[in-house]
Amino acid sequence: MVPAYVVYSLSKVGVPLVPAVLLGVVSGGALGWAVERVFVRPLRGESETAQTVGTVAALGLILSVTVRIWGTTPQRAVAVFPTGGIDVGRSSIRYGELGLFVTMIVIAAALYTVFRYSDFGIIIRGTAENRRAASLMGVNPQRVTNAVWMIGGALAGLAGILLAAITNLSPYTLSLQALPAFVAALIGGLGSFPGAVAGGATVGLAFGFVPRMGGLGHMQGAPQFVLACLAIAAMAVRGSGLSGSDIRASR
Amino acid sequence: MREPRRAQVVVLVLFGLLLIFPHLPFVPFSLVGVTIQAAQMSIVTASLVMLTGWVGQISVGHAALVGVGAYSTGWAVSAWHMPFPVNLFVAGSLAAAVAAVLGGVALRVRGLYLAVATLIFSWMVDAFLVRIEWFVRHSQIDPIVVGDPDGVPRFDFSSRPTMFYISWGIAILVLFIVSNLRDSGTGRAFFAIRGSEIGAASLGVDVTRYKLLAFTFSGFLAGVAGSMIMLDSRSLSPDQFQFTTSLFYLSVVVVGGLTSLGGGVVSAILFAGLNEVFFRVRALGDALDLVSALMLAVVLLAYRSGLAAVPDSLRRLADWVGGPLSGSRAHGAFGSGIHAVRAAVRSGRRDASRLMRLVLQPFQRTTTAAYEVRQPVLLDGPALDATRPDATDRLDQVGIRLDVAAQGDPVGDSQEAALPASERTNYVSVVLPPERDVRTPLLEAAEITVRFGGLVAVDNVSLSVREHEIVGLIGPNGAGKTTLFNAIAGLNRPTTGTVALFGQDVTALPVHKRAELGVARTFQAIQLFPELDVFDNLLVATHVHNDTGFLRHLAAGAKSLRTETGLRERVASLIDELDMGEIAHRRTRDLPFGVLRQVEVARALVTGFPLIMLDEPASGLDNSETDRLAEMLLTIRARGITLWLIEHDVRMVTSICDYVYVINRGMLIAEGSPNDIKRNSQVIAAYLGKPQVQGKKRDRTSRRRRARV
Repeated sequence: MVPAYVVYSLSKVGVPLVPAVLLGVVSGGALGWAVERVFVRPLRGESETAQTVGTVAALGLILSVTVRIWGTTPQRAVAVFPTGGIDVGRSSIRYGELGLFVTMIVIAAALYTVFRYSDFGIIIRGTAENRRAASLMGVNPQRVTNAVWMIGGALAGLAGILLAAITNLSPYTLSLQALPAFVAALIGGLGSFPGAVAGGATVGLAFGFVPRMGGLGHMQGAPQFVLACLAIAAMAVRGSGLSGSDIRASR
Repeated sequence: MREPRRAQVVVLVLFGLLLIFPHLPFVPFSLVGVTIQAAQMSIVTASLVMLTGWVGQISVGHAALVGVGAYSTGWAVSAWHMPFPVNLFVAGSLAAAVAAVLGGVALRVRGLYLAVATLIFSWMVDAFLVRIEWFVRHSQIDPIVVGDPDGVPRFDFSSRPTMFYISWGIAILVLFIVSNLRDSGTGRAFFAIRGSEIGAASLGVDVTRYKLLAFTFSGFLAGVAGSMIMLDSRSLSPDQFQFTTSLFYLSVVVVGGLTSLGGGVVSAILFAGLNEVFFRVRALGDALDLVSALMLAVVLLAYRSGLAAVPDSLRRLADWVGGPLSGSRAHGAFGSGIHAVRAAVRSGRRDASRLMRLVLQPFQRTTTAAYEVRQPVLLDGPALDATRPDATDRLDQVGIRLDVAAQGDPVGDSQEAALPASERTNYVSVVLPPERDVRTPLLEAAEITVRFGGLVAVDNVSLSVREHEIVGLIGPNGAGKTTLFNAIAGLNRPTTGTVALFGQDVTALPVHKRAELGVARTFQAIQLFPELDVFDNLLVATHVHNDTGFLRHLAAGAKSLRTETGLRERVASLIDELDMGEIAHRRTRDLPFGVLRQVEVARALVTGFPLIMLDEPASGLDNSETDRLAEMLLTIRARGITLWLIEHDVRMVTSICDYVYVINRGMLIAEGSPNDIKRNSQVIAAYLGKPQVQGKKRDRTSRRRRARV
């Protein structure tokens, strides 16, 4: 969200697109680092509740600061990809949507490769599992954490920039943009590729079909409602299966 | 008891002020409005303090639950013409029902799923529900209808003073019952769950049920608050119950100190005031969100205990500035007044009942008669003088335990008294255990196999633990001890085989149900509740003996208080007995490891269960600590309690156990008395890693090799 606004402001004062996007991504990384430094690190070793409240506090603070600076009225974000689109049958795909899709696939593939095959990926996974053991192996867990937060922040920033470009820029909706994705993950299951595709398809179908179903369906927000019900149902059905494997593995 | 009396005065004065507050001449009209808001917010705060502060569950959709209460009040009033207190209950119940559904979905798994579910719910309400025509229609109510179905208003909700009294009346009632809850068995179960879910379950706390109970009740209170918001404002806007409002509520609670009701109330008043200031002073803009987020961050990072710790800090500051000042303690001033008064009442009752102090005995469920068969035995060989210091050891070698009470005192039978003095010393009264087989097994594990994928961690192991004995299970690292223990304790299901406790098949029962049958346990990685002091940690262990329910706990009625007093008495006398008085009121997070082990064993003892299972009790202890622990275990056995322990400290196991099982690579390789085990070649091989049968051959080859070198 913040990087999207940064890009918006930069291009408003005349910074060309490419450096603006780059700076936006960098700001995302910096923000990720700052959140870790201010809200996560001091609470390490505290109770789970305190840690979660810490991240919630970070969200609240960032959200309200954004509102202070840029206001709540939705803005038209800068289009990163050229306008226009390809016609597919009766509908058309905009270049922005296509660009977002391709970028995300590339990033996902890159992340997967790094995680799976590089030394750095192994270090990250090891540190996540057991910080102390990792530090005994000569890894500096704090540096790994910093790197992960910065990469995470930068990638989230990039996603925000591209997403804002095809929807619009508003502090509340953009921070809640992650929700449909989250719902998709809940429906499809975490950690399985076919599941994620199925979940994503469900989300897409809901947004496409629900408004056409008449009755309350045409109301704004109806797809969200249906999805939320689906997500809760998914949680109910899957129950412990949702995260069961993680829990058992960590025990 | 001077302190509570002062608190009483403070509370009375505050209460008096509250009564006349709306009518005070210098109070501006709007200030009354602010206090009404503060009352509503206090109720939400109380519900979140309970849920987040005590149980450790996070709801980021509390505003949506408040919204459920508000809209259902609108519906109840405009469609059904429900009169005032009824609509409040209906609103609370509907919100509770919604919470129960959400909680039922999310609380079955450990972790942050409640936060996820409430976030999704909040999104659902915000994006869709409040915009539906039906909701919009019920977002307005008529002040006249609210009062009475006949059109004559019994309560005039447009009158500020009336609303003031009603709001604070309800808020105080809510604070009262929630603080009752904190001091009850239910509240302790909540704190225990936050401290360690598995620890709580091992003491018989049904973790899922209590989490669900907390969230449902929390939803009820949120609904009540929503209902009052509706009655007060009589019109709602769809933006009132957004995600950001939930964040705001969370900030109020954290700033108040997360676990403190008093701090929460003060914080609610503070934020209601700030809200008004930001609303009045246009120049400040709409920055309340920012300010509350900042305060949340500051409190979380710099002043963790929040407003609740302010009196304490002030006192410390006063101490620092000048000694005499510290006399004026601000005790109870920050809302803990109700609690202080109640504590005073309670401690009075406690003093009274101390007169009839109970001698600690294991609770109802303890065992049948002791097994000891006392009989005089004539020992062969030279006369054994029972008063000799080595008498016990010598008897031990022949498998006979000397009865301590009878030491040096020949059995006083008449026939024996007639014996000549020289022969008399040949008789000692001994405690002769009957054969193992005839004693009742308390725990029986039959043909347990545990597989993890292709790995067989435990392979067809059977064992039994019989009344009044200490049974040990030993094995080298990685032998499958812990896996077997977990299968028996209920942490994982065995692939095949059955577990029976007290003759009942428990293979499919969850941990807390097994505990209810009468088995306590300790953990290798200690599972005490770090935020509670030793006394309260032990008190949690009385959970299964607490026969008063949730509603009684809310009301803190006579029966509930009587039960509570009884349980506290038991814990207090056990603490005396174990000499733990010095640490009784220290939080366990501040105590050293060796002490924590003993506290955990004591906690298992408080349950009064006839069987205690110990998971590597000596791990992490030094030699002297281990000896002290062994002594403690023998004392416990002397109370008639059966013990089963897994351990790799062979010395300890063979010194205190009556019967020992040895496993290696998942298989049972030996069982028998400690002396048999010590001599068993397979056991020695397992521990030293060298099969004895081939010993000679190996020896020769190694010697040859050495020679070559």
